[in-house]
Amino acid sequence: MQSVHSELPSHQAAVTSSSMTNKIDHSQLCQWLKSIAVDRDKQAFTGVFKFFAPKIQRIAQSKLNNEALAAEVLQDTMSNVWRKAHLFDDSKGAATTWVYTIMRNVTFDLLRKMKANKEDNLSDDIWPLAEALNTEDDSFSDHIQSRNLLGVIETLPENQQQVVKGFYFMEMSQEQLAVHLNLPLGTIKSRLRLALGKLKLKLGEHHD
Amino acid sequence: MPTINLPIFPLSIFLLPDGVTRLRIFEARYLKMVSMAMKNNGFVVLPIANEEQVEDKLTGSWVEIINFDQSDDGLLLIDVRCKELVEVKDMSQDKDNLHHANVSPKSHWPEVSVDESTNKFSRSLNKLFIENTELSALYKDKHLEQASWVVARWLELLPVNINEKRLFVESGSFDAAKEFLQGIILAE
Repeated sequence: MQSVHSELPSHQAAVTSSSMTNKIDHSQLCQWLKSIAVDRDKQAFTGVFKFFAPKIQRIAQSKLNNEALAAEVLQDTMSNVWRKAHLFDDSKGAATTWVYTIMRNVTFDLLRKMKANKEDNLSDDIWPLAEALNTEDDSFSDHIQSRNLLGVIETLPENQQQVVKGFYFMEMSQEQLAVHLNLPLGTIKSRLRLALGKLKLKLGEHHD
Repeated sequence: MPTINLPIFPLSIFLLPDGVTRLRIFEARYLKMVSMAMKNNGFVVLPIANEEQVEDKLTGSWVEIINFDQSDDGLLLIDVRCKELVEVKDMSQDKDNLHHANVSPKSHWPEVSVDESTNKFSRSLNKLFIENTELSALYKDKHLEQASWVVARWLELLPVNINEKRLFVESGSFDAAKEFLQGIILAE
């Protein structure tokens, strides 16, 4: 990853090049940013998101050469746009320049964080847990495309590992169900086993 | 049966009609999916079948995005509600590795009111909503008076392997589902 590091400072020029400014509705972008700042307007944010997302994704992808990291740059950038919209001042520059500057800073932060994480030498302990809960997911093997990327994921905090998997675990654990029904865990386990056994028996009758 | 082409989100979660869940969207291809879904007709959550099930018809949950937000760490969160179950065929992958498929609606359980036994499930589910505000917040309309709604929500929440849960996507499976739940929640 360090090799990418040295190439990055040059990308800002490409980002703000005139070729991109031809058909941009600058006043619309400014209006959206103001609506986000003043009214926390989700529709306006959607507008900004739709405009910038493909561009940021494409630029980040070409600089980082990694889809997942590019997606993280996009998410962090848009999240900063949402939080910091009140700091945007259209008398000082175009909305595009402001957003791409945020993107540049986000990219530097991300690379810095990854460099620091590398030295932490994190163990694999957390990862198999998430993996065990969700083994079916792996049938789509392109979900995580390379060992290299997997290495990066392993250094992420647990909540971000879940992000890579794409969802919250909404299902209850056996422990939660036991607490909810005010029953011992052992009772829950045997009830689940029995109910599943009955179900299979019943289905067997229908199918054979 | 009319078919419609929709983007596919491969994810092993069990979601019946009217079920709501929160997803965190991270990968580029799924951000694209969300943007398509917001403009058009939603997308399909498709649990990945295990090898034994490859022969079977694939059933997915056709969902619409009902809310979106950002997590504290800046990621896109969407709440999706299952409109109906669909049969999925002719899957293909586009240049961004996003899957698409032709899907056709598949009927599920008829609406059933609560009776004596399902009323207990309903009360227990209501207690769960009270204890778990995050879960409760997902459901603006809680149809605790409908046995079919209550049983479906319980099945989604139970700690049971998705391959077993998937038996209940069949339209004639309501009674079996009720019995299954009785064995877990009401057993003496």
